[in-house]
Amino acid sequence: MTTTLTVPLTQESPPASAAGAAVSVRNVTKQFKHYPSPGSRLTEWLTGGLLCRHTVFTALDDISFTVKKGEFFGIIGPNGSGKSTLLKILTGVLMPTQGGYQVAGRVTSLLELGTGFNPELSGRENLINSGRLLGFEPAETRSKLAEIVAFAELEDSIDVPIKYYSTGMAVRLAFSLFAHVEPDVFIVDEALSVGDIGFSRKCFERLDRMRAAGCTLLFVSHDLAAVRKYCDHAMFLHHGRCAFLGSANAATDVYVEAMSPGGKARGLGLPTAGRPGPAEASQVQLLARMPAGLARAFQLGDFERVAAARAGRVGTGAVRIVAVRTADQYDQFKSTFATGERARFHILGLAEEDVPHATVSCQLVNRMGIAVWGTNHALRTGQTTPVRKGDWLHAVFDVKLELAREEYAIDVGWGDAAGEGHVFDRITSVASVTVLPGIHVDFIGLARLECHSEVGTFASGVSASAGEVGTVASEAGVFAVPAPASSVAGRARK
Amino acid sequence: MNMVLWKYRRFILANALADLRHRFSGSVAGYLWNVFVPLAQLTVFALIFSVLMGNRVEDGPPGTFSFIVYLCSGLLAWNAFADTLLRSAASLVSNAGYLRKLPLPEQIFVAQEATGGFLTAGISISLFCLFSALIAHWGPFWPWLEAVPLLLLFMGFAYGLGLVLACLNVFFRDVQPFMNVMVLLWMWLTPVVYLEKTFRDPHHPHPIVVRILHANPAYYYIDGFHTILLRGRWVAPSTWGICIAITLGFNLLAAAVLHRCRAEIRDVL
Repeated sequence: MTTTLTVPLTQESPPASAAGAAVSVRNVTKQFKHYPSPGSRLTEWLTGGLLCRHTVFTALDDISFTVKKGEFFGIIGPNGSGKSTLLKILTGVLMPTQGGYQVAGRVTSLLELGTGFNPELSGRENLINSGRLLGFEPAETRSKLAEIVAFAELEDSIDVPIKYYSTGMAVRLAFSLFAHVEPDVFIVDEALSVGDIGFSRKCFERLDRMRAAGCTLLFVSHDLAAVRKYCDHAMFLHHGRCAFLGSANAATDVYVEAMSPGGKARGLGLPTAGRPGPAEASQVQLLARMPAGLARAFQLGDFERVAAARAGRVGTGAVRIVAVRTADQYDQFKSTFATGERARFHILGLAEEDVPHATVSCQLVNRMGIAVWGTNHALRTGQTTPVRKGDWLHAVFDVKLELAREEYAIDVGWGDAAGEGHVFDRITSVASVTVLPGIHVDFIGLARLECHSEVGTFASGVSASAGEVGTVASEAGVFAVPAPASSVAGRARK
Repeated sequence: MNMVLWKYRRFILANALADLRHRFSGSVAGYLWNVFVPLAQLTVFALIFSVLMGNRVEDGPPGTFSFIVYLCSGLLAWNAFADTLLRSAASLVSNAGYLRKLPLPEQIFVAQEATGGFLTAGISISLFCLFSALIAHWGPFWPWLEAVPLLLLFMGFAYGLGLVLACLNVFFRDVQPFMNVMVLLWMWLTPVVYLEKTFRDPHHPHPIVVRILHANPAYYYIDGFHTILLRGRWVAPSTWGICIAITLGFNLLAAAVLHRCRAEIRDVL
């Protein structure tokens, strides 16, 4: 099948220079000229460029990376960071201003699902049309038609004009067409999350098969969970620059960290450690004054996070929050967790005055502004801590994040009592964590409450040989007492 | 460049056909409009020039159909040319949806319009030949076969010029309305509905007008169609030479313009 493909969309090019590289991009820069009006372009053209009227916008700045054959490579970044521009260059839609790239084998892009679908034509006709765009003979598309339609689950509506399709249906049709092209390099730009859960799972299964077949994938997505799950490596683009290039897990962590409310998105792409600015200098001094053990537990970014949180900070200042860190169980910085994973929130305070009672609080707030969880050390233990001026207070909340997939802002504070009392220092949204679903999602709603479930079946009762025994489905004893022999009891513990 | 067109020949042909079929989709008469519109236009011109103004053609068929045969022999080809030109000028902008997302070569969208023009004119000229032979009792003539290569050259000219206009139209949308006016003006600068001999009248000679007509590249193609279809004669080698040169020249120009603008066309679309 692959050899009979004649053209389009797909570009044949010599093998990329690096051995085993499917895609190699070297110093690609893309600049767009912006003209204030069509007339200004005419002025520039007529004067042979003597009167320069355009401004240059740099969408991509010196991007280089290599993707090995069979590798899944993620590209992440906020809107407008240059992701789509990069993909358009790789598919040959746009031409780089500088630099070059090589793609080994055929590239097929899914830049926008359903490109070229004519709303007046039926799904079947559109498949054949798009197949032609992809370089397939109509006969060839027809031979695969049944398979494609079955994959899209559109058997009933394949002869209906596309204009009557829902968005999800059109996307399914497009994806299944592209999935059956079996290219060497496949480019997917946001898309797979459009269909319903069942279909997107099917898409990902298909991707797995393609990976097994040695297909290389470039995956652009805001779905960080998918990037983490499917990509080996990832690049984090920010303002057209490569802010991070490395393993998919690390890249998503850096991305989430950079984009969090108190994150250091400002300086990204230029590692902040290099030359601290005036504000950072004071953080460095603070760090230098700390006991060695504490200094190891916190890093510059943890201080910056607090320093950057100007809004929503209240309190008397008797105890000041100086650093906040979200970490994994080994106290390594981490801000993206799977549901059920352990997170450790470190809060560092510095006493500016002597206080007889000090306690610390921490809460997680979801996007709707609902505090899904929160606690206070005094509330939990009934104890407060007396501190003297100049003391450091290091608090750790070790939390199992049994939460739904979402981003949660973290509010922290020091005070003299749980609930009512004085607030020494309280910062809202000082940091954030992102919770991503684990491999198997077994709940809906905000939180995964600890839960046991069981199903018992009972005979319809007339013969009632063992029925009486079977109805014993008491609450407490149910897991300790073996199920009656006559009933089939399914039992699950989470 | 022609390699590209060859590579995409299926796509071009399929789209040209689909376009003819769907151009009037949603209307009651459907593809019949492809026939009605030129027929109505021919009727109007025939009424004005033949019945009202009493124009007669000497080197064509005798009798009532003489002027109609003259009109058809030039106008059918001209209509395809004008239509191709206007549609080509808009083609890159109207296909921006494809060009923004797929690495398709720009020229195939212009080629698609030229192919459509070739098909429409091919069908209408064939029908005209039937009409001429059966109803007007004029023909058939062997030189009629030359209409095919001549039409190819004419559409090749429309393709070259259309591609240049299409590229410019991406940057300056003024090209489209401007061409609407230009094509109308151009038609009256080409002897398709009136007779060239009007300006060669020995009593009222208009040598300047004749010179202007001859400076018009479309004149040679239309003259060729008149020679073939109206007079039933072979086209002179000199006319062939001029037509080939014009088509080739505009194609080279188009290739140069596209090469120069290509990267920016994608950025702007």
